[in-house]
Amino acid sequence: MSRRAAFWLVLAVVVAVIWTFLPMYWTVKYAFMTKTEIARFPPMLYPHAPNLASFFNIFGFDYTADNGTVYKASGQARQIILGIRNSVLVAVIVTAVTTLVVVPLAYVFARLEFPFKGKLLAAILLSVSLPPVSTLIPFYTLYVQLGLTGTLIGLIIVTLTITIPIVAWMLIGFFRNLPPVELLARVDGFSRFYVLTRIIVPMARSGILVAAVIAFLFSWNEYVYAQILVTGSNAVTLPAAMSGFLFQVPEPSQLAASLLLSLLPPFVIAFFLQKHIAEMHLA
Amino acid sequence: MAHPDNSAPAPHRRTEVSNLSFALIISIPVLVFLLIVVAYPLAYAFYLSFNEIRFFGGYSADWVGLTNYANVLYDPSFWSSLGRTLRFTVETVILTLAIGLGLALILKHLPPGWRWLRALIILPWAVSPYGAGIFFAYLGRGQTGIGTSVAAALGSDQTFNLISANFVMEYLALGAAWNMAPLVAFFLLANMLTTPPRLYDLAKIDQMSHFETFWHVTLPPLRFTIFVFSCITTVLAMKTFDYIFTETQGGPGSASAVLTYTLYKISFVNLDLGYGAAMSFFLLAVILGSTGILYFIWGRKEERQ
Amino acid sequence: MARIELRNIVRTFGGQHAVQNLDMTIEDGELLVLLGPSGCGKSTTMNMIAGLDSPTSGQILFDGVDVTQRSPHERNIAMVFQSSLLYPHLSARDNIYMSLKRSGLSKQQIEARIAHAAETVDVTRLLDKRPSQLSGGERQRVATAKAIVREPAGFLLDEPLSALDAALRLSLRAELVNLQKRIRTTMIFVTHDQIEAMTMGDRIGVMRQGRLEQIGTPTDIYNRPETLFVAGFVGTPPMNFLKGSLEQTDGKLWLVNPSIRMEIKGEFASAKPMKNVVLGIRPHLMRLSEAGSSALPLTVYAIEQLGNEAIVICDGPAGEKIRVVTQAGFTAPIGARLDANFDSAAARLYDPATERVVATDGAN
Repeated sequence: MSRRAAFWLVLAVVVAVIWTFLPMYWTVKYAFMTKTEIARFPPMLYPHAPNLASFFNIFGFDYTADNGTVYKASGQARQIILGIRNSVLVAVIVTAVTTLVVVPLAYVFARLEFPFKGKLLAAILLSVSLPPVSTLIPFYTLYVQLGLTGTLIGLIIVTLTITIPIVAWMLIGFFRNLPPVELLARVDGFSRFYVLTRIIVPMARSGILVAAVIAFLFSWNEYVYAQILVTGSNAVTLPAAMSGFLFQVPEPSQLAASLLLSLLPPFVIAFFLQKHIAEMHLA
Repeated sequence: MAHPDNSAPAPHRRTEVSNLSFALIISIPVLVFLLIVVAYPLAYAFYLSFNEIRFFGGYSADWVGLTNYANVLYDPSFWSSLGRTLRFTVETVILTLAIGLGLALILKHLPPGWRWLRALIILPWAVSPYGAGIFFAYLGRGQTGIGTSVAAALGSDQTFNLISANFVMEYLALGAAWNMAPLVAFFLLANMLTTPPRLYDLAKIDQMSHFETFWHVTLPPLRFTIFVFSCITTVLAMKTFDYIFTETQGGPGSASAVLTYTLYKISFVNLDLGYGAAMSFFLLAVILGSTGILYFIWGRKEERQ
Repeated sequence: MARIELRNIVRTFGGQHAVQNLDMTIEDGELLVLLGPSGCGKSTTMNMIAGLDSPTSGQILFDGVDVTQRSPHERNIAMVFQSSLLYPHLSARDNIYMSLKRSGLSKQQIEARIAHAAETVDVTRLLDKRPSQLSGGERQRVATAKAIVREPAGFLLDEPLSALDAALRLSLRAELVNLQKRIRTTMIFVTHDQIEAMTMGDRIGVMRQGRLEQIGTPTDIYNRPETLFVAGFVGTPPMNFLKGSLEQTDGKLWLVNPSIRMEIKGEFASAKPMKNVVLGIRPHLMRLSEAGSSALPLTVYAIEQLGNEAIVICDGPAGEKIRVVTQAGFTAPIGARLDANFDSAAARLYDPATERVVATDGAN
């Protein structure tokens, strides 16, 4: 590479890294700052005396700074702790159910010909484009009647309506591009169920892994339904719990701290799975 | 594409489950589930849209026929919200694809020792829309934002608000693109890596400029991916609610009240459920219509290649 | 090992005939090559023999037993697919093992069989590798091992060599024939490459548009093609064709066209006169000669030097391309006038209306 090309590449990389991290940094820095620091004008570019007070506060602990100032535990702590537990539960269950259900479904749609396939596929794709605000009211009224508001099972069911169609769509594309091993399997005398469970699934590991990650992220990041269906209840999820710091009594530092925590699982997953992400083929 | 199991109606074979019954065994439970939990709300919303729902003085539903739909068409806030949705969508799609393409080009040229940067560039994609909304809210607001910091660094003591009534939609689109572009970049990168290097040699022999090389060699294999992501981004941008909800709450004033936000206010603040349901079908029509138009004027051309 | 019979097989796809009224018998231990251009029905035929596809009507018999409704596994066939398809996530050993998983053999028997099959095609050292770690030729050998390990009634190969480079194809071709003769299994090999067919087959079945055009030994197919299609499809360089009419004068039969008048001798001398006829003659059977009334006036178009011989490609009098094989080193300027001659007893006559060979009083 010529020196000039190298210069432009380095410059481009620097711009890309700033573009990627600046918006996150701007908020995340609050997690290590005090209210007075945050209120300073012009805005401080970095915490001059970084502290972990907010991380203690959101879990319900007081924090005493070196200078003796006491930062009081947050009144939202119970919601945050519940939120973390519920978010993990919902995301894990949704991921497991989505994967179990979608793998066979996508397989059938990707690799077999049968009547009405095109119409059924169109119906699945249609549900991908449904805006949550359109279905929110019906879900809400239905849930009130069934007593499902403020329950985890209720939230899991609505979340599945988001994850199943989108994950199915991605996996159908992936399965279509696998080699036609069904032919081999028929010669070898294996049943269709064997082919699916013992041949296709291990072959498609990376695609299924990505599909599971997508399901996890959609569930973990879901906020619209949670805001309406479970806010304030024992089934509150982390995003819904966090929004208390945003709307009720603004607490930028505690909001940033809990937001940072909520980003860790998706970041770890995305970081380690980025190699596989582009292996998904577009249908 | 060649299907591995190319079963045009084949005569019955007793030793194997037929395609249809195998497909049904596997997909019926899921399809029934989707039918109940997707079709039911849709049908219920459809029912609501023909009624006027009242909560004061006890719940009541009065059949009003198409009145709600007619009212939507005479509602100036519907048209202004629709305008904002379209503006946000068009800007988001263009920014997402342009930035995604730029990131992909950078990632492609990384020397082998720098490949770990790929794992960092993907991270915004993992941020939830409500998280991205919070990030860009603090980044943009006059009191806390980067605009004021830059102004201060240049010696000003004014606040500089990026979330202003005139440009709030553009600012929102930029944040949405920040959120979605990395995924686009990864798919485009995977596409780029399949372009035979010989084509670049050919471009050199033909003495193409950098731009011509990009236009004639790099871009053509990406066109299908760009089309698919134009559709995906269009749908996502039109559906967006939580991102805007946490970033601007439709403000300043109602400068960023897109259709989804206006719908939310009608249904959950004004509790005008019938009217909200009717308007939500207009939104659905706009989403399906836009992807349909994209497909007919662009997608069919790409498929033929 | 089995004798495989196809009886009046028909296969339609949505009203389109993929295979029409096919009758064919493959003898026990025979290597039959199904040859034809893409879309001629050869792969469909093979899939029906394998049991991967069912005929719309007709019967398939293995050693006299009707297996039309049986699955591939029940027929005990082995198959090597295009590009030597293997399970990509399994090692070569496990790929071979999958052929025996449903066989009910004991673990020791299976291991012995795998070892033996691997040795037979010389892939023992590759057994722990995955398909993605193997070269095209190695993959082909592993696929072959996977097939023979079953000791199948029939061994079917669907263009297994088509993705490989020329040198590798050449050696693998010989390997497959050698293997087939050693293990004496019935083998059916599908290809669109006529050289592959000629070099490998005990017999060749030439297919076109769902029909069997001709079935016979390579020598038969080459020397006595029954149809215009077979005549043109088989042979390198391809057969030359001359249009004309058959006229009878003085008790002799003549091929006549504006530039040539030639007496037909040999088996076709007894044919009836007809207005339109196509004469086919192999390039090897033509000689460059002096000009004369029975000689064909040609213009040199190109010359291909093959080392042991040269092929002179010429424009014929009616604009057709005529190829003549002559001694190595022959040169002539492009555009030069030449004359060619041949013995009409070595030529074949075809009726362009039926595309079949012209009837004679003789054996035909």
